[in-house]
Parts: sequence; structure tokens; C-alpha cells
Amino acid sequence: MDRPEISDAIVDFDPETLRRRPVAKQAAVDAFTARGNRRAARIVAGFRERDGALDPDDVDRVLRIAHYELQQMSEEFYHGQRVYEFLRPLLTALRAAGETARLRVVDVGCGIGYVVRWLAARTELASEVELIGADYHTALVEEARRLAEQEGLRCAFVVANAFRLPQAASVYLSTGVLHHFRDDALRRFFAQHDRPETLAFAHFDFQPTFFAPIGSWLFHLVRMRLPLARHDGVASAVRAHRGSVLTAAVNAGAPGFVTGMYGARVGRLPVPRIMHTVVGIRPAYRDALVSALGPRAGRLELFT
Amino acid sequence: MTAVLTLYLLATLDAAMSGYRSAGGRVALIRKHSYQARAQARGALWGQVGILAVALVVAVVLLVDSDPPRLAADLLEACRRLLVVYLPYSFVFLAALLLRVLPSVDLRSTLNVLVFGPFTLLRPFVGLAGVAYAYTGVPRWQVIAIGVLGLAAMLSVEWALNWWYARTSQR
Repeated sequence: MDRPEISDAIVDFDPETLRRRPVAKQAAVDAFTARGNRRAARIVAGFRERDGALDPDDVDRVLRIAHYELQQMSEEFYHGQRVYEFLRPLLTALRAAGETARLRVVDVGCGIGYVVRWLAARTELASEVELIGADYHTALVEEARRLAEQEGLRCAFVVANAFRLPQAASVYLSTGVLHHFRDDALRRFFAQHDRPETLAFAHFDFQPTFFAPIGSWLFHLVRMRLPLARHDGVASAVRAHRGSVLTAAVNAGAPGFVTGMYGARVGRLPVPRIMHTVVGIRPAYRDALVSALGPRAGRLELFT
Repeated sequence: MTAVLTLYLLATLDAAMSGYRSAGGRVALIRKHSYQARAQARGALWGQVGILAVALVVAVVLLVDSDPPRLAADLLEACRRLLVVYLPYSFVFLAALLLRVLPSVDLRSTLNVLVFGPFTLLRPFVGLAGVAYAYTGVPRWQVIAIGVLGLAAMLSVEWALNWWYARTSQR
């Protein structure tokens, strides 16, 4: 049974216009109550109300705080470095295989843009490629821009559907996004990658393991202050997709890519990492990627 | 006196870590070493308030006791017993901190998951265990009173800093 996250329930966007739609407060509370999730119902009930709907300013305020705390989690897991350690050889492989066009790396559902900002601040990538973060949520994108400007970072953030930008991405990334898509929606998510300009993708998300829910609960208990962030952190671990589900969705939705899982295990040990990555690359660049990864090529599994 | 000094250093380190934890998740800049350093310094400084309060209580307790030299010796023994519990905990924590300089994303994040996170959760219980162990060896009410006061002072640093951040936050 799916365990929806509060952050999904308290915002609603028109998928065509991306305009924000009001969320009826009582309906949102009742939806969690009907699922037996009284804790989530209490959290949603705590939001201010405006004309029967959740006050969007209050929702934005809380989601900004939640994303700040989420960034702390990303920092504790060195996620920026983790992304770079895959992205650098990927970009090298694309160039080595003859790709000469200016490459665009787009972070899907970027939130306050931690990954893009980290790459711009800590690596040489900003001078080599376009780093772009895209999200539906205006308040989060504005926060991402403000933070990037404060540090003088070379990157851009847009309120947009990442798959409907005027120029498609060469590489799509995401962090903690995939588990929000269930069943056929996951296949449709990957289907959107199948554009001529798109050469590769790497989507990082929690890996479901036996210990993930309790580990996630413990870690969020000691690190998160916001009840919403604690709730959604555990829900993310519970909802995470297995590698086989992700690769099946890619094969069904974007068969033009060679796909596989990256970094699911620690070395050759049967010890799962907290996050795994579903990667995809056009067949013409596959061998170049394996070569560019070097010793880390051993982290690729089911890569066909 | 070495035991007292060691306890003082551990308490200051603990307060600095409280400063680090309470500052976490409040600033979303990428480059924030100076912010984190200031947060740790703030924690260490606020911790001195609690340490000073405990020192004052110890001084008063010694002054009013009928046999101050005997009590002082007992309190010193209690300090040594506190360290029997606190030093191994601190050693593992510090060793994990040192290991974090190694440039491995897996190692660093594993240390966070297996050491820093759980040790934060265990901290109050380790504190209590230390006081209990000190009391079993030195069964005087002053040991319990000063031990509990010291524990409360250290545990309240993070709480006080969270309150301060909430009041001064402009987000």
C-alpha cells in the first residue's frame, strides 16, 4: 500500500500551465485520516487556512524549511560529490565519443537546487556545461536563485516542466524524485527522456532495503526538526523502488537507452548503499562510459 | 585534576557539537565553513555557561560541607568514574571525525549513518550511565546532584540554541 508524502498532498499544479491550484485543507486532512495516517493528518491540519484551502504562503514557508533540512541530509551523505563522481565520467564519455555540442545538464524537480548549486560551487562543470535546475514550485525555484546569486554561482533555475524546456537536456538528473512516480506514471516519466538531444540520465533515489524504514526513521529523528520533514523522510524510504522496477520502467518507457543500476552495493560486498542510481545512456556512448568510469565501472549492474 | 580538566574538555567539545547540530539545516549555502565554525564556537561558548554553573554549585557544596577535603577527594573519584563511561564514547566519536578526512563518499556517509547519527541518539543515555556509574562508586547525594545538573546543562545547550535560532530566524 502506498504511503503518500505530505509534501505531495499540500501542493497541486496544473500539469499543462504549471499554475498552482488550491488544495482543500479538510479534504487533505481527511485523505490521510482515511489511510490511517493520523500523524500526517495532524501535520496538515496545522497549516493555516485561506478560504477553505491551505494557505499557499504558509505551505511555501514550511516547504522552504523542509528543503533546507533536506539539504542538510544531502550534505551528510555527500550527495553532491556522489553525483559528481558519476556525472564527470559521463560527460567525459560523451565528449570522448564525439559529442561536440554544448551540453546541458538539467536537474528534474530540483527544489532549492542543492545538486546544481553544489556542482557549480565545488566543481569545474559550470565552465563546461550548462547547469540548470527545474521545478514546478515557484517559491522553491526563487529560493534556489537567491541562494545561487548570493554565492555568485554559474547556474540557472527555471519554473518549468524539465522535459518541456525550449531546449532539451543532454543529461537529466534527479534526486529523490523517482519514488513519487508509481506504476505507469514511472514508465511515462522515463518516456519523456526519449528526445533526440537527450544522451543520458542519472536518477538518484533511496534504495529499498530491510533496514531502510527503521534507519530512515532513526536518522530523521536525530537530524530533522520539522515534523513534515521527518514524516516524508520515512515515507520516501518506504516508497523507494527496487532496481528491477526502475530498469523495467526505463526499458518500457525509453527503450532507446542502455540502462542499468549504479552504485547499489558497496564494492563487491552484499552491503546495500542507502541510495542507488538508475542510469541510461544512448548505445553509441555505452562503451565510452564504461571506459571513463574506470574502476567505478564495477558499480554498474544490469547494464544492458 | 587531570580528570577534571579532561571532563571540562569533553564538555566543551560536546557543547561545540551541540552548536554544530543546532545550526544544521538552517543555512542552505554551499560554502559555509565559516558559518559552521561560528556555530561550533557559539555552542562551545554557551556550554561555558552551564559548565560555570556546575563549577559554582561544586564550590558551594564544598564550602558548606562538614569535611571539604574528603568531599573533594570523593568528587574527584566520581570524575574518574564518569570518564570510564565518557572516554570510550568520545574516543569512538573522535576517531570517526578523524576518519572523515579520508576522501571516500561511502566511508564518510557510512560514518554519519553508523556513528554520528546513533551516537547523537545515545548521548543522553550515555550521560546518565556515566552519572549512575559514578554514584555506584561514590554513593553520595552530591555526586547525583552535581552529575544530573551537569547533564542537564550539557543537554540544554542544543535546546537553548534551537530556541535562539527560532527567535532570530528571518526565514
